[in-house]
Amino acid sequence: MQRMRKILISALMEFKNLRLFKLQIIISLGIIPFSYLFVVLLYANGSDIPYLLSGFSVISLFSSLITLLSLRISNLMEPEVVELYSTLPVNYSDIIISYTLVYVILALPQSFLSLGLSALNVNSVNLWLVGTGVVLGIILFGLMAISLGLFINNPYKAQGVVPLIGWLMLLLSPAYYHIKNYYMLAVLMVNPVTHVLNIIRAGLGDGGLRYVHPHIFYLIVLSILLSVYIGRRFKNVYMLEKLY
Amino acid sequence: MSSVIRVENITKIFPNGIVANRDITLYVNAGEIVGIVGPNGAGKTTLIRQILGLLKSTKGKISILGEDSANSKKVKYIGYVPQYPLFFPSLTVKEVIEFMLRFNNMKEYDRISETILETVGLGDSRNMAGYQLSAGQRKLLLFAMAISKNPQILILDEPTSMVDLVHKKIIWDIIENFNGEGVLIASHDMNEVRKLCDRIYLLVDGRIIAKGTPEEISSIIEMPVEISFTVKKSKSAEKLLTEKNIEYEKRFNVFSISFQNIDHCINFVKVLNDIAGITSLHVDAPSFEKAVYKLLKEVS
Repeated sequence: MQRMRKILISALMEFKNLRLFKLQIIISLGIIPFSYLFVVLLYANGSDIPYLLSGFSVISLFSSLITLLSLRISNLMEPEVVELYSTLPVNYSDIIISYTLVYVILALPQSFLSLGLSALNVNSVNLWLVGTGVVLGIILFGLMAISLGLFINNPYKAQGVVPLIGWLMLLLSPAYYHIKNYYMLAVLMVNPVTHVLNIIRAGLGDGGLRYVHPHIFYLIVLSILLSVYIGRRFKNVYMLEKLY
Repeated sequence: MSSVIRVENITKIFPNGIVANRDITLYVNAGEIVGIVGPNGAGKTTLIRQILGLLKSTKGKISILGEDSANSKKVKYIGYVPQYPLFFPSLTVKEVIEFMLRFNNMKEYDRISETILETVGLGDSRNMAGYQLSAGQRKLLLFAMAISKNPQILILDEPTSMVDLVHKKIIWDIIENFNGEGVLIASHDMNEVRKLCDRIYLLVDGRIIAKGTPEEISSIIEMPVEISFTVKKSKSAEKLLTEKNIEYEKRFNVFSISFQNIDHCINFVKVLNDIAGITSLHVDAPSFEKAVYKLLKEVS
């Protein structure tokens, strides 16, 4: 209970921290993605709209978390930031949990909005599957962002590497295109974004996707592996030691 | 007497081979204010980071409030002021203190934060964001954050660097009246260390080269005592100096002399007053600052 309270206060603190970057957040989480969606939908056929909207929903969730959260985590690993946060009566793992919470909250509206629009354009919706896909997506993308931030450990490097990773993940996922080639399909299956997409699209009545269990299994295994990596990084209590 | 901080034979060697400190042993007893003095790069900040558990010692043992710091939760009882004027750019001064208090489950955080800000002299800056503060104000805010934790131990890394004289005095008063278990200060400010500290460790190149009270440190090296004076009978003073074969300098009616130690100086002043009648006297006794400077210079 005490820990939960500290996590919530830390999240509130991060929301206030973000006031300086208000305009940047509105542009990067609102204006740019929606203008991109507008262009994508402009020439879409009626039957493609739910497909494109679901693709946008997952990609926007992924991009927002990877871009914002991993940059923030790598910023948190700077020596002077570690030192500043060491003056706070809250431990580092709780700070990271609270920041994940904040960036998930920021990423969700655009994702939910497009998912809702997508649901309005299909005949049936399996809420359990859509919900499972969204929850697994949030957990996995959050863990990916934290791992990436911890791995890069340097916000200046992260600013160059993270957008590239986001772009590669977009390119290697069937978010905005269909793929029939088996070899290409095998490549796309390495990408966790593809699996989240498949679960959500199955929930939105995509007839071609009946078997979601392998996708769920893949995402759970990946989440466990990333959790182990993050846990090991935080097992050592000597925070500044990691930076030398 | 129990030690609230005990550092035993610790050594820190970074992966790149740089030795930050070697075989350091120091302790802070209950109720004590202990200082660490040393030039830049002496290893003061690394030592503090080891005590705080931010860096792992290559060798040795650190205990805080009787518990080994490696497994201890006692670090949370430490209020820490870092060396650099670190800040939260977007948060106002008042918000920072309020968050500190809320983390510690203080119900009346609004009222208490006001009291803390007034105490450290940041009341007028309460609504300023971190990025708007001067370096000195940021250090004051870090100090306010440290005391808002209601800590048992204060660890202060150059707490008053960049802080103006008025606020320096406020911080010194708070440290002197701190009712926790103990205070450890790393500082360049000899005035600060001499005024506040019960004991001092002199750190050079990661080693302790001297320790003791400020008076003990001052007496480690025999320092010259310089005096300047004016007298009623100038001729008598000159005669006395010539008889005793003492080298002196005279500018207008002011005499300046240097003695090997304070005893010689006192004896001479007594005789001089009897013979020539001293009208003004300025003694530059072996100062703590000069002693530290000489010690550091000799070692390096």
